[in-house]
Amino acid sequence: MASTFQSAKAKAGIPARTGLGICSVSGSYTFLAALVDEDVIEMVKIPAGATILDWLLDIPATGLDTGTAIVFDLGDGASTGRFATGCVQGRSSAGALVRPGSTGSVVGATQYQYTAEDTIDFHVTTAPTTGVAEGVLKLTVFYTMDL
Amino acid sequence: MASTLYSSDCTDGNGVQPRAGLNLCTVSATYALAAALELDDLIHMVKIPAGATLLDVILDVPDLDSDGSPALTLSVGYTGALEAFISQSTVGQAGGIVRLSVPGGSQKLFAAEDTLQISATAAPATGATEGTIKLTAIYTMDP
Repeated sequence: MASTFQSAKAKAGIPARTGLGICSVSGSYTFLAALVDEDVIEMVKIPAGATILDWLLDIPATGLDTGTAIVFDLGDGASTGRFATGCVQGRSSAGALVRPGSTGSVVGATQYQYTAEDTIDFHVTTAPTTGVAEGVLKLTVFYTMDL
Repeated sequence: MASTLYSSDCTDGNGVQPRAGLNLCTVSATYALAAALELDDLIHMVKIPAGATLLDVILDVPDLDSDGSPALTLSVGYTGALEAFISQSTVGQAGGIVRLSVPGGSQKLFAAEDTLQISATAAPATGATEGTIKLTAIYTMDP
């Protein structure tokens, strides 16, 4: 028989709130040489207490690899693939937008809360066949400081 | 012949100013399953205040149907419109993240307080008995 359930946020006594703000931080990195295996680019700083809601990684239109080898993660020092792992976007000289729900994004990674300041990092886990020698990598992260 | 057209916000002389003060709000919740979902199960996930204009939702679900021929579909909506934002998504058949995807579903203005609800629009073939479902809503209180 069908039932009706409630999350903790929908229970009686919890007011619908209008004051839960959303913050964003954006970073870009211009690479002037081909990326190599185990390169790490710290893209943005995240404050302690932040809950990550959404992010958008913008891979330049020229891609990262003229071939089909590059693999990368998006995460932090404690978990290099916290938000995305095994990503293959940026191959064959093609740009891409990568976000939660894209290939490689990690299911269950939304609403991750940082208890200490950290950075969100782009991490090359497999070198490109022939790396694109120049481009701008961009990352925007949306988060809240409210509980 | 091609034309240049304007929304009401961009029409010349309408007095609408480009604004820097339109704030975004967000509310997120998780729900831990204690039993397999059944057809038409409804999970009230987050409360949306009166006056909110919903801009996006992000549904993050694990694999909730382990069957070789999974059948589970999930929808996200509100009271009286249970598929307003995400309609019969198969995301729970293998786990994944999906966003508001119903054409016309964005910019829904809530005149009265409501909840965003996840419904099982098709039952799982072999439902998972545990797993955490997450929903994030992004909205504005500005007109």
